[in-house]
Amino acid sequence: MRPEPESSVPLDRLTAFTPLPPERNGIADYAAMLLGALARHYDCEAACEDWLADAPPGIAVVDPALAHRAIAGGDGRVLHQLGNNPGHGFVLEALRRVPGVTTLHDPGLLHLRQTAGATRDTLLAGLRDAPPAFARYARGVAAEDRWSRADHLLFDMAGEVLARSRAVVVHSRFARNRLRALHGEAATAHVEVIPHLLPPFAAPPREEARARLGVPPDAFLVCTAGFATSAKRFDWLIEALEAVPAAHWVHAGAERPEEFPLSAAIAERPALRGRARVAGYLSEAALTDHVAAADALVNLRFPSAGESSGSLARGFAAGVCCVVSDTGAYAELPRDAVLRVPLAGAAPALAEALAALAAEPARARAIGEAGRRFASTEMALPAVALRYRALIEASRGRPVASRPAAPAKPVALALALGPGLTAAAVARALGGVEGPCRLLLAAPDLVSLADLSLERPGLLDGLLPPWAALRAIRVLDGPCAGLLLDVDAGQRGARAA
Amino acid sequence: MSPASPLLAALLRAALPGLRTLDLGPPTLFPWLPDALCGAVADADALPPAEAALLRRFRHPDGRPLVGFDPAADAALLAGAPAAWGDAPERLVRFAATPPPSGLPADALLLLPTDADLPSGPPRARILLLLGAGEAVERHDLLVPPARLDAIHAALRRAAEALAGGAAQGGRWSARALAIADGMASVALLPEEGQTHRPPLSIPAAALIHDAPAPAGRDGLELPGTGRVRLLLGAPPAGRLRAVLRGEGTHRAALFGDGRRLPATVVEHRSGETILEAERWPPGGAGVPVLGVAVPAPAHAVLLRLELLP
Repeated sequence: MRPEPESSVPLDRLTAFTPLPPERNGIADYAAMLLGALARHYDCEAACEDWLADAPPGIAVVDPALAHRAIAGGDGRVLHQLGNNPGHGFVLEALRRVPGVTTLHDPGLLHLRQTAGATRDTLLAGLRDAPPAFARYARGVAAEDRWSRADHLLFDMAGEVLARSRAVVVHSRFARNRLRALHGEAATAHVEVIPHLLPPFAAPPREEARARLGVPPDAFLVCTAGFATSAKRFDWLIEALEAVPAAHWVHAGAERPEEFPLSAAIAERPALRGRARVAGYLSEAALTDHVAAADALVNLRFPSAGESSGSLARGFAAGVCCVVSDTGAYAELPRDAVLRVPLAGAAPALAEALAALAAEPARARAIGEAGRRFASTEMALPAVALRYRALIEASRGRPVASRPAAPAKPVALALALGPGLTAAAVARALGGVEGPCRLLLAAPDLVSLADLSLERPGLLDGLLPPWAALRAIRVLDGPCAGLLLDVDAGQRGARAA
Repeated sequence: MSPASPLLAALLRAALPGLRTLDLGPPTLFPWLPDALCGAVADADALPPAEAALLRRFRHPDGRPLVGFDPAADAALLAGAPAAWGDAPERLVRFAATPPPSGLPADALLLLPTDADLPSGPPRARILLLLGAGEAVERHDLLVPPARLDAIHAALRRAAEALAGGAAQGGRWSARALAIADGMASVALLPEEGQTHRPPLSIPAAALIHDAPAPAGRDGLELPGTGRVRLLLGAPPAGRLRAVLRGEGTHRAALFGDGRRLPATVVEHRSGETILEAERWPPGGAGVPVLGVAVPAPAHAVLLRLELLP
């Protein structure tokens, strides 16, 4: 059932361009939860590429290609949920045409650009965002057109998003500072930190979850979740778990073998045989069971570009002890709410921490409880929704950068190309034009065109006036058969001279 | 669309054999003249970016974009290149407002609203078309080469009489043709009982203007793997609307009117066809109406036809 609005006054429309479940990404889940809470404040609709997606009750899913028609002029309330994967290509497109508040879940957008059809020129143009310190390297990338994994950290390609958004939401000070370092104070003055939200679900008791999963009550269970990417440092975790024979490990998420071959890496380690497995992508309920059943939720990250983690929020909600890398946004979490693992010597430090938790379950439970308390204060969904509302309202009048001007369209002229077409007629047609111009000499078909060119050798030389320079020529087939000429008609004054 | 659009289309089709129409501005004659080439707006350059991006997606059945979005194809059309017009022997350009001062095919017929200024260029004779639409009478002005005025006027008169006699759904209609002055004539086709000519219309997939990546084949329009396709409608359907599909998952298909889900019934037939029927189009839409059809992805379904019912 849709939440009741706070008063009987009709709510203002809020259009959110976002992926939604069942799309398998954390931002889709985040958006569904956020919209559910924002529905108390707005008449929400979700513009989602999947028109049959699952929106919260009472929230319509609309076609993003048509959503602009219901947005009031340039003053409508619009929210974009943007992440760094191809499922957000339509959000990036929408942001270019309909500005609003943008949640930048991943401050780096190079992967999205590369996978969402950006041309080579667009990508290289994005290098202009590079800070001065990287400028020389950026020129090298542009010159050689080579991209490496390091480029995802160096070039965030977020400049356009910053410029075209009325406000930008990130989930950590780290992410905001990173944007500020790369793009400067002025371009990031409208970046606000709103913490990730706490999923509004009731975690099942640990014993019940374990019973459903077949995990013995006394087993020490480590859980990881989400897509298995290389930045989540499963290599460190595997090394650490080899040194903690008491620990069982389940990865509650899908593999991305092209990034990190998780199953293969586990299979290579005999010490993990029988106590490590990959569950694959899970339903919402199964994922919740896995997190609730765990003694520790491990969420490492290096390098960090300031990403936020839905898995971590889920761990907080379940009151599970969360173990994180001491870097990026994770370093901002209170020391008593998580267990931080240093980047230097991470694997042995992680092994030590897990062994300690396995030996002292009460400590794990205490950290988990402190994490839950922290999250229920700082990340509570109603409070997050209120902060969004305040930002959406405060930023409504804020201007955004203009879209890059489209190149001026050359004047287009057309003449029927046949035996009767004369140079004088072409000169008359071009007479009123100055500068670049596109001239179509339309023929009935290619056969007629070929016949005419045989009958009149040097056809174009004879037809074009001397003051018109032919820059390019294309032969067109099909419904608009003929010769398409790019002509520079020069300046009228120069012609007379 | 004006209420008289179906009648106007029927009259023109009957009077002008081999007619091909360029329907500029919000379409009036499409889909009642299903092979009409459409320019959904008068000036594509003046559109807001999001609307331009939407309309740029669409393709005519032969693969051409909407008029206004491909300068070369547009120039070929306006130059009167025979291939651009499908070698049609009779060509008509309909304008929603005053036509541009130049660049029109010299021998094309022009259809203008009543209050439009005359285009410059060669002299043209005028035939006033007075068409009944319920209690109102609509006027459209057909501009023709003066030398063809008598022949076209006579053809329109015969077509109007035939429609009045047979095709007007049993009601009583009157057809009348007058020579008003030198270079001006009229044809009136009027109901005596406030009727509107609105026959059911079935549009095969191969005649639809859509944004699917591949053109429709003989077996219909294959939905892309995403399961989503948008269809450009000439005008908001005045009555019921049906999309007829075949394939997997069509029992879970949905219709979207201007991007919003339409309440629709789904009926599966033993023939394998699934019919989605929406009772009415949402009122108050801005822009050219767009119908969306969606089936769950990954899709293995085909859109067979669209039906507009009274």
